[in-house]
Amino acid sequence: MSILDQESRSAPPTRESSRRPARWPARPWARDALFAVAALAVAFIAILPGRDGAGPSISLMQLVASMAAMTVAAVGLNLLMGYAKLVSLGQGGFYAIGAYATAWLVLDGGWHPLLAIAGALALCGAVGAVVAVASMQLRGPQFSVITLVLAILVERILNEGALFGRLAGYPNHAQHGTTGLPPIEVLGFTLEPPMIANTVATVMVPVVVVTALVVIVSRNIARSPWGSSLSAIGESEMLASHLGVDVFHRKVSVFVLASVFGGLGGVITTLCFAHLQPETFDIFLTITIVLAVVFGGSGTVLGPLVGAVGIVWLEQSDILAQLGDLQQEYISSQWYLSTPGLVGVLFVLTLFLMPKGIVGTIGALVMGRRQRADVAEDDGAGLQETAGLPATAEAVSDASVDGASPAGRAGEPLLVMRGVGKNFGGLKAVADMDLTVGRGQIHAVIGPNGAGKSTLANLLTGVYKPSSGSVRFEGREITGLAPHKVARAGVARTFQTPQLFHDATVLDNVLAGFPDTGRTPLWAAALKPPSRYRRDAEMRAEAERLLNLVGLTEFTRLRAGELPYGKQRALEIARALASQPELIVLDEPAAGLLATETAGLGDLLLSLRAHGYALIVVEHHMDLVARIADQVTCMDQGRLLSRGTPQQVLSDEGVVSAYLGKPMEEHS
Amino acid sequence: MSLEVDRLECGYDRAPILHGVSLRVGPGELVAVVGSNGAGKTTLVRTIAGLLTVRSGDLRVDGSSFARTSAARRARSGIVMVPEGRRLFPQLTVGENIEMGRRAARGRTGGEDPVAALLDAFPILTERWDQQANLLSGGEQQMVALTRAVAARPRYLLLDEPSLGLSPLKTLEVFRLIEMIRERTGAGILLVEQMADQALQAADRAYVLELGRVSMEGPAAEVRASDEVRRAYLGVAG
Amino acid sequence: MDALVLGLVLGGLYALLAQSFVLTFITTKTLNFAVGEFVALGAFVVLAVAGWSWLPDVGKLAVGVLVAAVVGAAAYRFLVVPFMTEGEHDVRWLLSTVALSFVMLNLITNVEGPSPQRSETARLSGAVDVLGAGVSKQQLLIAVLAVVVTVLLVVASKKTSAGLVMRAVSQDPETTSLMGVSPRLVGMVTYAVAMGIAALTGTLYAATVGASPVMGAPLLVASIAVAVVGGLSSLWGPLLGGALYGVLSEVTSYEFGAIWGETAGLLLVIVVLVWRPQGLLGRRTEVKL
Repeated sequence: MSILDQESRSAPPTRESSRRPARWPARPWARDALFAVAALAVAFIAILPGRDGAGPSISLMQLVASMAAMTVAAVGLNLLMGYAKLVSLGQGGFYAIGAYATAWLVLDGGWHPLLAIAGALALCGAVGAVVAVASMQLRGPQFSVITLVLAILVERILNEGALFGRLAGYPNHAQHGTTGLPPIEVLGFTLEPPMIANTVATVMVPVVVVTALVVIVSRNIARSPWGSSLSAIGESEMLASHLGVDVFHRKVSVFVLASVFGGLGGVITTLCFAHLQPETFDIFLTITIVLAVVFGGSGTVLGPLVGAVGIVWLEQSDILAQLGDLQQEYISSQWYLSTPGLVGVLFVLTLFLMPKGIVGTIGALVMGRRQRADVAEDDGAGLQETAGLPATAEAVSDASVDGASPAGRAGEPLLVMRGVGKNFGGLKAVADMDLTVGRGQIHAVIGPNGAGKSTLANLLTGVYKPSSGSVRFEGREITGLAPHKVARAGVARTFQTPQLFHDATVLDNVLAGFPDTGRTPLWAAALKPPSRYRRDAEMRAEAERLLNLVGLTEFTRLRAGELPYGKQRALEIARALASQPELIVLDEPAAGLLATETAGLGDLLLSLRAHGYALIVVEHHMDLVARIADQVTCMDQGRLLSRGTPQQVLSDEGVVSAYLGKPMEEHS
Repeated sequence: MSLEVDRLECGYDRAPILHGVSLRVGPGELVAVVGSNGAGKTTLVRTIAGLLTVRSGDLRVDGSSFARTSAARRARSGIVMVPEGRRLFPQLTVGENIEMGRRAARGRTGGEDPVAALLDAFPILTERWDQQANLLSGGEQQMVALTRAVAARPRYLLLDEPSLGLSPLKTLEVFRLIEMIRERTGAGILLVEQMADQALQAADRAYVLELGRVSMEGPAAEVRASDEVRRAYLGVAG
Repeated sequence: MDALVLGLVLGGLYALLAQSFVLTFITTKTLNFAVGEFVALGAFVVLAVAGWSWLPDVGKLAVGVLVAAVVGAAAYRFLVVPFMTEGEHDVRWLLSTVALSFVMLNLITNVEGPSPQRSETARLSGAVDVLGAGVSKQQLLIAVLAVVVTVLLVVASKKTSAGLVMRAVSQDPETTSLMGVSPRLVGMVTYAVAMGIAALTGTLYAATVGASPVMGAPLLVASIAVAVVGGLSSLWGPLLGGALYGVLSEVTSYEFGAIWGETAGLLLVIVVLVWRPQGLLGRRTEVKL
């Protein structure tokens, strides 16, 4: 369900799908099963060469182990950085904590290894939670700085803490009489690390299985409503909260999850190498994990895997060293770059040439080609502006079959605003406004620029807390509630400039609107129980119904950013409808639309009213307002200027002069 | 000798806002562009000032194109904009704000200081000289913004909604100041305004912008008398 | 008492370097994570011209500062500007400056070798007694310089036209461009000044510990911490942050051992960020919708 996922889904089960070539396994569970089998198969193939434990295979198994550890850490970071757009430089710190805590709990704590691993991961989660709670108010560079501070703090403690053997590493001869952890034993099996020739590195089996599971689980999460919420946060936290996501809570959760994955990478290192040196957990490690994500493709399912495998291979193979030698030979024996410098160059080149990473770039190419094919199939008819926003009688009757729409209780007041005011500093943006909207009513709010209309919309939806007055919705007090709580209460909204996920498909945009985005628990997203499949199918069917309602059926699989502007507006309305709201607040829905599109928008809004939705429409297009509104409120200078039917308000001389800026006396 | 906008197309990101707008401002001329919200007025001035890139069409001053130059260079060549919402530097004083305006006039000195006349006419500016800009009232802020633009010695002045958020009385005062700037500097002024009536009273010529297209142009008085404006704003004739 | 004085002196060193973070953050809202390498760059350039006996030490310092300034301006233009185009959430510049740090560190190491080299330029030997604590003259010089540089920067930002432009850019780059001033050019100049300060710090610091490729790394961490504690948007911030950080870490390591000193300092960062995300003297930026 992820929004930024480049890979497209199978064709939806509608009449439309008959027109398109069938994709490989059409059933979602079959696709997931196939992915899981493939992931495990790759994992086992990777360790096949080590099955006899022969000497030369040992170094290969070590390489696989490094790749596995890096993959797990990168997958975790990708959830944070690729989806929620929180660039953490602290992943190396969690990696180190996971590694050292496991070793220490086993050796000094005497814990059972499995318990020690669980303990180490719990510690990572706990540290992650503390850092997350501390840093969630920070944005951009400050967030990165605090996570970097954490990574450096951890490195320092490991370097200088006598407990961890300092530069002698952990364990070491002086303190423990050995330089290697004993292999762990589970259920009578001894899990040998890939260290000794002619001993089969049995630990590799659980390591690659866990790595595959992490990739599978992260794919589930990324494509679940939970993953959509991360993408929404990455796009705009304000948007996410309007989709019903508790942004603070969700950001802390994803940070904790990423921390645990980071720690798991460290656990794998400990299990496979049996000895830890503090200098391997330096800033270079944390940056390498970031590079793995960026290089492979941040915000894609396979990106971190591809990136991690690629980077580890590059760093450990001879290629970079040989490049260094070549420079020494042909350029200068002093002025050359060796491995870390070349990694830096690679990083910059990736940012310049392949900002979407390997997987992202390939995905975009594939998707672009597929879309061109789709558009050709549609004969381009769908892109004509004249198609407008058709909301035909057929669409209306289609929709009314569904019981979800809140029809039937028209008349009772749904929203009651009393004496609401908002001051910014000394400026009174809105003063003493009343507003009552009943079910099945369209209430238009008009007024000249700067009259306070948008502020009113923001007061209603929880963006601003009112300085005075109260807002009641369905008889419930919602004054001053956070936007996600207002959204969950049943108030959806659209924005002046459509806030869409431009890189996601039209269908995915609508899917992000469902309440599931804010409410799916993490475990359900990760494990994907059968109920999730049923709900996904339900949501998809409902999303297609809504797309049909707003006239976007043909565009289901197009990228939202490629829709004409008018259709982006329609899409935003479909997404708002997906949250099953009682009331929709539309902030200038006709802005930037062509005349024909505006007419289509009017039809659509009227059909929504027929379904029993209540609408508040902040608008400037008076012909639209005159056509659709039951009641019109005209604001000027933050206050109520006039209220009544469209005819009454639009013929009010006060309104006319407020708009045209005529001094009042000319009319007297 | 004029500022010319030739079949201009542009917009934010993916949303086209202007669909081939052409207009002209002569030296010393006050030209109004009126239209409802969302018609593309602000986009138009921001594009002329260089804050948005031109998709197609051309911008010329005295016959030579400046569609590809940076905003800073345009300001230095005398195409000066007063942005919507004033955009004073909030933590700078009135004097420092006006000093920033002078930066754009470096290399184009000589003659009398255009700011001096304004300071004489509006002593409040001198009174508030050392006050932080964000402590001023809306009307005072607009005066400072206009003075700052004058300090840049404009050949063409672009005004984006100077009346925004001001009371009717203050709006009158701002229009008086605009009139004075025109007389003193001889700059051609492109005035984008939602308060159509006042703008059309002050202007020589006018364009009505609707949905990113010019739907009417002519002498301001004619435009003011026509039903076109009323329709553009209220969607109803008469 | 000793720890207090030493902490203040140490804080001076961090504060001087922190100034380079603050400068770039004020004007461009970016930080150069390669500052540590500019410290080393300055030190090695000065080392390279140490043999020019016709040039007084101040001149040698100036060469180091100039080279770093030019590289800094170029770094901004080619590695920061292309990666800050997508609004305030776009932090790709952070990754590109980290990458620059890798490249510079690697190059300096390959050219100069990893071990510290003695630097005699601009070196004061001996110690003075400050309130009963013995402080090396060189360290005191750096601390005094931190105060001098801060005062100069504050005065320049208040009294000169370049300072006016800098404050204007920090408040509203777009409107600044409407005043005929290119924000990009201002950014390049700021990066040049900031990296010049880093090089100056490096040279003076190298006189105490020797010039080595990794000499900037510990300074980088401490001075980012200092800049964040003081507030990235305040020129006075580094002095306050440096004093707090220096004294806290010095006193803690005096009482509990070196490892806890740094830990306490970094924990201070976390506490301050939670309590005042904008730093102690920083200005809170309003969230625009």
